[in-house]
Amino acid sequence: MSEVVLQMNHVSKNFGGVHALTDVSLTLHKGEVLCLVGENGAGKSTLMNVLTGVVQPSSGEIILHGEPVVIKNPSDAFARGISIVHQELVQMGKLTVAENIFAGRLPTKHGLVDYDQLYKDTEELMDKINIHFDPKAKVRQFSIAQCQLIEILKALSYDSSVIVFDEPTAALTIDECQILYGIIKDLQVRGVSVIFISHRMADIYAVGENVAVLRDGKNSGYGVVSELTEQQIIAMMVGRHMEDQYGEKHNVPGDVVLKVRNLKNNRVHGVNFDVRAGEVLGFGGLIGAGRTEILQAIFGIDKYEGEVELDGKQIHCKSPEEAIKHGISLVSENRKDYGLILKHAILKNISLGILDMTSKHGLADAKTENETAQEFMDKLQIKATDGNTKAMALSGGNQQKVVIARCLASKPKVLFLDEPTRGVDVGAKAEIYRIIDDLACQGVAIVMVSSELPELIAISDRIIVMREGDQVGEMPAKEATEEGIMALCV
Amino acid sequence: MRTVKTKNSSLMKKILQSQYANLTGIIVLIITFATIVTIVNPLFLSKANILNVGRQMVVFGIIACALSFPQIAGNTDMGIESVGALCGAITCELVSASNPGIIQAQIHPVLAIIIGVVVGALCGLLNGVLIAYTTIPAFIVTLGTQTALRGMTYIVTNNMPIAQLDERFLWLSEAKLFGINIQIYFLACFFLVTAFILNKTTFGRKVFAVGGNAQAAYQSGINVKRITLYCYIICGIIASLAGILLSARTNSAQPTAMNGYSTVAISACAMGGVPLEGGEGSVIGMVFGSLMMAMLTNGMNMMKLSTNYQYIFRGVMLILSVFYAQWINKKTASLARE
Repeated sequence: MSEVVLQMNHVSKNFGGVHALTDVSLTLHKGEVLCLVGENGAGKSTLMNVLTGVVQPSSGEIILHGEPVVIKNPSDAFARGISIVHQELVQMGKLTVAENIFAGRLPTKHGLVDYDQLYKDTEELMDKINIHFDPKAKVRQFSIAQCQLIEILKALSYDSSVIVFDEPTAALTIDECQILYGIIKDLQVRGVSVIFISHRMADIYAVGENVAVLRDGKNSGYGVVSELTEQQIIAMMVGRHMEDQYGEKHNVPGDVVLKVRNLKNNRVHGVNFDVRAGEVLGFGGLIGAGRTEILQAIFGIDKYEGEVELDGKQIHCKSPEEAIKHGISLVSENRKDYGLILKHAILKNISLGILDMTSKHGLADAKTENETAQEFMDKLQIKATDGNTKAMALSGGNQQKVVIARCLASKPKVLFLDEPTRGVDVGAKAEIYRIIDDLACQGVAIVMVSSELPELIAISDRIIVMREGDQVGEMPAKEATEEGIMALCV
Repeated sequence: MRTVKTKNSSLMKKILQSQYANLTGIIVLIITFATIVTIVNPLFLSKANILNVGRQMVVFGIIACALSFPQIAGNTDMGIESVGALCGAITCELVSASNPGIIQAQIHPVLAIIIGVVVGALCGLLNGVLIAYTTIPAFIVTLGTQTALRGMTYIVTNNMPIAQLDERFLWLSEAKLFGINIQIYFLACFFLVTAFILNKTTFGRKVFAVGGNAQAAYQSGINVKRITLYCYIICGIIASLAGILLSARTNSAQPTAMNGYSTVAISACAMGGVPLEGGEGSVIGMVFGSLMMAMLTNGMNMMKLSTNYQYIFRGVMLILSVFYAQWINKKTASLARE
């Protein structure tokens, strides 16, 4: 193999009494794409924080281009040619593409910004990996995928020899992923080494050469991607053999609970569907196809025209408050912004859904509330020190379970799940699938939007495919194939 | 730091990890400040002066209670001072035997207070409607009402102090119970009622939720606009009572009454651990915050600082104290983690 660019040897990091990393080592060669995988909380982020100078290791060494180095802070990391493309992108929306890429390093002439030079530099940079934006465009209206490309350009502008991608595909559509894979291969040809963090097996097989697995802050496996099966990689991540992460379905659909006829607004053009008690109806399609908008309209967030019938009764919710009273709950696709109060405790987050139901004359019944919340916390196996732990301290999977618990606490007849496993690790995913099956068995009508096709097919009973606001197909999940759904999507 | 850590008892750790841990900053600050003033002037800790601080704390504490509702819900209110001044003036004119203001009727003090409170509620309603149902930022709306209502106060009073108040009205500041001024009891009631509303009612819980994350609260079925509106109405009512109690204490309604008190309320809340972005906060913190603000004024008098220098000192102290409280909190938080 080619020369070694980066070595992290026996790195450990303790936060107080918590061992986030124990004796972790990692080797990266020139032009290699190394996938770094592991469940949430396995230590991937901490390891990358050590690498990019965000935190200092408690022990261990970093050897860059054969020299031991101490990376003092993120700008030191940049200067040494180590960049990171963050999962949660930080762009200055009011600035242009060029300004974002060269923020803090704008070329100047006579003390003023030399915009001609800036745009020229940006164009040159974009030529390198063959992507083209207007350097003068404001970043505000860019999609997540486009923002990511800007981050990549920024990394290139520092002449980075190592670029870390932190779960770059979590919010991308399949097409956008393909573009990203292409760019990563390009980088590889240019001799850049890439560390690619991901939860998605598809990513690992598409771009990865080697895979390093972390579990509980320790190295738990390493191998050549092409020589490992998906099951083997998952086994290294979770420490057990996962036969089938989707589990078996047990639910039996009953009578129609929710009937939607000719639902229309500016994003959705006339949608019709029924959902039965105990049924899981899946919505497939690309991001922006109008799936989320259907849920938001019925849930009372967006305006719509058309008819919605719940248990044979016409309803038209104008607010989530009304929808929840009717027995409809929504688990939003963006739990941090729309689902959770991050600085409040788990129990408080869950009991938000039952404040009015347990109160008497406007007085909150803390005892009943906490008992109910605790019950859901146990039932959904939310892992935390106790119920008073703040939601922000939880892993993605546990945060998602808190949102689901809050929705379930109000005992909904219809549950909307929008990308329920986004940013959730493999172990927690399997648990969420089990929860969905349990709910369906109890007769809850479930509508799930998912961009992960294997999940959509395995968990749903019936699938409706959307494209640009139109309902373009419907099929029983048993007859659905990934290729068949994709063909309808695009 | 590390040697202290090993000696920490588990009780100490429990306190540091509890929800009250963020009060350590303000408590240490109060002790530090009291020590300095006492060294300069030992009379600071005399019984008479402590009661004096208590009386000065009354209005500060009540306006902190008023502000806590919008502030915990993630908004702010710059108009508290003008609402208090206007309502105090209206109530005083209604209980004054002869005054230069435009209201000349003299009515029973209880009725006058009720009218003053209703005006306060209407001011809160105006703020609340504009903030909840339009997209104008709360800071701008309440800055606007602060200015406009101050103007109304000048008009209502004809720019003159309103004096010659009904003896029965002055009971609000002169009555004593067990040797302690009645206003201290009022203050305690405000703190207790505020704590009750915020912690024991579903409304209060929703206030915290809205301030914690308005979008998540909305999607959890909380009517965010209605909660915001109610917060401002409550704020207006409490602010009017603060203005009325202040006028009883000063025996008159001044057109410039409570000038600058919005800043005092924000300072008291900020020092007491209600963050400007909302979602958190406790009444006990506000008690300490308003105590600190009262001690600041009183302490500077005890140290014989002239009024002009007091302004400078007060401004510097506000910035320093919040910085200091944050620093202490950070230290205790890191102790609690270890």
